[in-house]
Formats: sequence, C-alpha cells, structure tokens
Amino acid sequence: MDCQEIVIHLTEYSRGQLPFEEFKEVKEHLETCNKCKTENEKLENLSLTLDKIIPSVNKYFEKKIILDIFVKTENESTITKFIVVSLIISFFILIFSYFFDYKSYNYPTLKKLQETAEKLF
Amino acid sequence: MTIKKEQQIELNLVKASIKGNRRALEKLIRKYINFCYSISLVLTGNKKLALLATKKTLNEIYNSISYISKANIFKIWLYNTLKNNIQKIQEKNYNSFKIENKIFFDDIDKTLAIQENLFQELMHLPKEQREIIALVDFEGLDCEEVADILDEPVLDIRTKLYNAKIALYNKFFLEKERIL
Repeated sequence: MDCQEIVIHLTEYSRGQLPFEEFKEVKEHLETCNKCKTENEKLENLSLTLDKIIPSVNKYFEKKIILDIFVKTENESTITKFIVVSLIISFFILIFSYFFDYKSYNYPTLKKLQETAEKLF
Repeated sequence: MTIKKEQQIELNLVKASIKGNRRALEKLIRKYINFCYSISLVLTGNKKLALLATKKTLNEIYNSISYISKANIFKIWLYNTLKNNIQKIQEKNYNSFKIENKIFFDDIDKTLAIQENLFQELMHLPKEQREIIALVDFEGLDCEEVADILDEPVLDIRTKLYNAKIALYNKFFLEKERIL
C-alpha cells in the first residue's frame, strides 16, 4: 500500500477494526513514514475529541420513550381490539335482525300469559 | 467481548424480537435509542426533531419488526426507516425546525465549550460527511458495515471518511490554534 491507501485506512486502524494482514501492513508503514504518522496522530486526536461529544438521550427521555412505546401502544391496541370486537358483534346482530321475521313471529298476548301463569301457580 | 460475539448477541436479539419475544424487543429498543438519536441529531442539528424522529422510528420497530424477513438486515432497515422519518418530519415542519445554535449535551460537562464548538463545526460539514462520521465515530461501525447501510462501495466510504475527518480537523484544531 502507498501513502494514499494507508491514510484512508487510519480510522479503522486506530479502532482495531482492520483485518490482521492490513493492520500489520499499516503498522509497518507508520513506523517508516513520518507523513502518515502525523496524519494518524491528527486523526487519533480528532477521534478522542469526537468520543467526548457522542450525543445521548438522557435517562428521563429514555424512560419516557420506552413507556410511550410499550404502555401507550399496548393501551391503544387494547382499545383497537375492543372496537374491532364490538364492530364484529354489531355486524352479526345486524345480520340476525335482517333475517329475523318479526311479523310472522307470534308474540304471546297478555291474556295468554295470564292463562299460563294461572296454570303454573 | 469481541466484536463478533457482540454482533452474534445482537443478531439473536433481533431474531427473538422478530419471533415476538417482548423482553428481547425491549432490550433491542433500549439498545438502539442512542443510535437513532445521535444519527438524527447529526443529520438535522435539532434536538427536538431528533427526539421526534427517534420516537417515531422506535415505534416502527415495535410495530413492524415481525415483517423483517432476515435478522441480518435489521440495521439497514432501521437506518432507512430513520432517514425516512427524518425526511417526513422535516417536510411537515419545514419552517419550525432549524439547526440550533447550541446543542446541549445532558451527560457531559456543559462548561466544556470546546466540545460544543466541535459539534458546531461538525454541523457545518456536508450532510454526507456528517453521516459517515456519525456512523463510524459515534456508533463504532466499521467501514464495511457503513458501506452496507449506505449501499456504497467500501473504498468510497473510506475515502469520504478520511476527507471528512481531515476537513473537520482543519476547521476545528487549526482554527483554534489560529485564534490562540
């Protein structure tokens, strides 16, 4: 590898992400080339500073997000399930009432009910 | 713990989540909160927008993880979902979200103005370069993983990363030396 190829591998080199063969090659090159060594120092210095500014969600938001996802979504899904079940039930009631013939059904008259009651008691 | 072992654990977590294991899913979501947040923050420069995009993306993990066909494409799927969400939120609220002048980090010493300045300098880089720096330096991914996520050749990623870092170094350290 020449200097141009070496410098593009430097970030992975300093993070230990290079395969062994390439790592060895870069290491040997850095021992002999001052220009690349300086570049490597620059990048390492920058990486160290970048490590300090890694953004992270604070604990409060982390908890809030987890709660929102697991509790709210679960509640929402329970409500959705309830709505779906109610809709299915009302659909069946509607179908049943459509086919049910109210006119031909003999409703018991008051007199008949009284007679039945008298028979019973 | 070696990188491969860590990747295997993560893969198992994704597989279990796809199968419907709730505990695994919670662990996975906790693991990716900071990933989503830091990438969103670097891409948008706005804390509120970053939180919104993070929440929306994590919600999508909860709702749609069972539709992922293979566990090893999870990271790519997540990254694309996150980017889509950022774009959607930005389009919806084009005027209300702008790059903030100050990004306050909750977990580091706020008096360290140097870090604040470095973040500001980072935000001045082109979006493409910011994206690669965030994935490599903030999330610790190697160039091959970044190439998979961004669907670009590894060599291009390495070159872009090097150019981005040198540009940032020159902007930040050389500028600081000039002022001092």
